[in-house]
Amino acid sequence: MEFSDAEIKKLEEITTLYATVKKWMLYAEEIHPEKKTFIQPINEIKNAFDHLMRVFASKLELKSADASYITINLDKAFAHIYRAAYDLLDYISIYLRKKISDEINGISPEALTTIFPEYYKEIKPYVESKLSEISNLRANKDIGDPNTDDLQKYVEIIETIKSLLDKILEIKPSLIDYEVKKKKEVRQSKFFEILIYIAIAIVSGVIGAISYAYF
Amino acid sequence: MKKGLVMVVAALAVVAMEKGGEKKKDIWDIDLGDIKVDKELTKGVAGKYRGSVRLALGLICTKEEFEEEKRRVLNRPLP
Repeated sequence: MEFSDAEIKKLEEITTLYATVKKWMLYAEEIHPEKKTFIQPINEIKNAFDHLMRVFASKLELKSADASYITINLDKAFAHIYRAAYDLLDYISIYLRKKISDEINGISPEALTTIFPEYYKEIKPYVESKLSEISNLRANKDIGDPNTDDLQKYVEIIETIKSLLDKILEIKPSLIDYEVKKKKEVRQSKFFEILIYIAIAIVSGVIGAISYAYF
Repeated sequence: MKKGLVMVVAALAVVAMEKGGEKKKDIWDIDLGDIKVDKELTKGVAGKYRGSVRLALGLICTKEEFEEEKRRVLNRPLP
């Protein structure tokens, strides 16, 4: 079985892109709260495999076809892997955002401002702004003419958001500690407040009683 | 020998499809359909299934479910 230089180049592109897809597929299962498997990219990989088999069928002379048949099917296999990559990155971006939201939810703005000011200054604006960039990248996605540069941009955004989530997870114990300490302080100050009220009430009662007895 | 066998199987499949009224098409060039999953059915036959544990437990996220979740997540602003 022989492949032309152009065919080998395309096979290399498919294999390289598949390595990326595989990496993100494993991460996608990990990030889902219930560890669910996402069906859509599996569907794309199944179709990519089908096109690769058409190539091998032709090369092994199990099917009669002209040279363009190989090129067309290699391009189609690449397009399906490309689509699987986009589906996975979209899925991961949504679950990363959900995870960030869930982790921060319940933490007071005061704790965030004091312990983790980067959240309001960098993380939140980055995640919010990149979501619109992601939708633009998705809107410009053309399966017939795959643009791996845009895909790479998308990968970089996801990598950054993933590292920001790691940062949040790392600092979360300190945020919880701060919240606990603050709550304790509030409880203590309320306790002293009540003590003061009781003391005032007692002193007022005593003064009242003395005033009543002597005047 | 093996090549011949595959060619015969492919030819038989084409004949079978022709008999079934489908348009004549090379078996290699028929596109596969989308994966449709009935989670309840999958869980129901899990005992007889020897594949992925996740699939057997119905731990699958379909395209429709994801689109619904995506809409929900994007409608909730970050705290």
